[in-house]
Amino acid sequence: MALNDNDVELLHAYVDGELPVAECEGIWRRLTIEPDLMAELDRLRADHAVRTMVWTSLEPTDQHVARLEAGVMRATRREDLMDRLHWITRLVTTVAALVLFGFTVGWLGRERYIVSPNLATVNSSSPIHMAAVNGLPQMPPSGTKITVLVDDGSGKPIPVQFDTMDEATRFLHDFRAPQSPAPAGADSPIVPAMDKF
Amino acid sequence: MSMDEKGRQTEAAESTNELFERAVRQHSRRLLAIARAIVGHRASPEDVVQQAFMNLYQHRDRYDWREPGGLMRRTVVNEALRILRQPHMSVLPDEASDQGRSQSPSSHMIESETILHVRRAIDRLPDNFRAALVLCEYEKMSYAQIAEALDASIPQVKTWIHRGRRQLAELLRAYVDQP
Repeated sequence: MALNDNDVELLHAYVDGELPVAECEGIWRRLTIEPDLMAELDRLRADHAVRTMVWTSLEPTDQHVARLEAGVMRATRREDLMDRLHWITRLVTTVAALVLFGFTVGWLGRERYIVSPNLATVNSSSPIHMAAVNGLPQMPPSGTKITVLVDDGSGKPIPVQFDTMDEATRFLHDFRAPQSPAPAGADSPIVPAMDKF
Repeated sequence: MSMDEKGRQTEAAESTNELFERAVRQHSRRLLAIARAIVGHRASPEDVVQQAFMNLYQHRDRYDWREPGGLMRRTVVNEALRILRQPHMSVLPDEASDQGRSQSPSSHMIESETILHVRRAIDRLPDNFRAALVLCEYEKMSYAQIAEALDASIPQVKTWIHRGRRQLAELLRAYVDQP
């Protein structure tokens, strides 16, 4: 009886050990009564044996294996080195970016913090006081007020608010005028401060 | 991160590297044979295997290196097939790869000739057929494992193996029929 393609495929699976036990039993039964099937199985096994020799002949020599292993180890060491370099580069870049960011924030915010509201009493003639007043922007953002604390003589600071810096400065000069000459080293009752500024 | 965690990570990294090196030593011979069976003389099997190893090494932390055989086989097969798919593949000269192998020329002359013919016939098979055959017959992998390695279905693998063997038989018929 001529073998069809399914029979050959079945034999291939049998040779490869991929056939379930039930189907193997069917094959064994058929092999005893079908000489063509048996002959085909023998041929497949012979082919398989030749191919096994071919696969074995493809195995590399010890020299090839050693060369490959040495090449892989060299490449992995190079890879590790590159990894470390990348890590260091990333670290340096991150630190540099952070420093740059810090400087930028400081530079942009320097005017805002030059006259931080200092409600402590300072000497009116001190350079700090004048610098504070002179350093204030002439046009504060809309909605903000300039507060000047005035000592009413009892030690309690009274806040006086102005819309512009000009008004505040004028008030400071007017307020100081009657008190001058101030005794050297005496504390001034006047401290400029800004709300929401 | 505490010093303990750092220490544990370093230890883990070291052990991964050690496991990788051990896997390379353990599997390189068979992987070279697989690569050679798949690429034939169209590429250097050493380059294929080394590239596959490096691909694995770059992502070594993702894999479990205690049982690396299947992973390495799959990577080498995929790398070999990828290289074969590249255009302008140059054919390497048939290197004297059998030099140094302990074979006595007189007794193995006919056998060597047969092997040479079969190897040439195998080289002429489609890439997937060849890869499936080598994994099945040389690596003794099951159809399911081959399907996983080649990213194919089991019926497809069965078909590849079946057709590969049939084509091989046809290619070798002329040689067998020689007087």
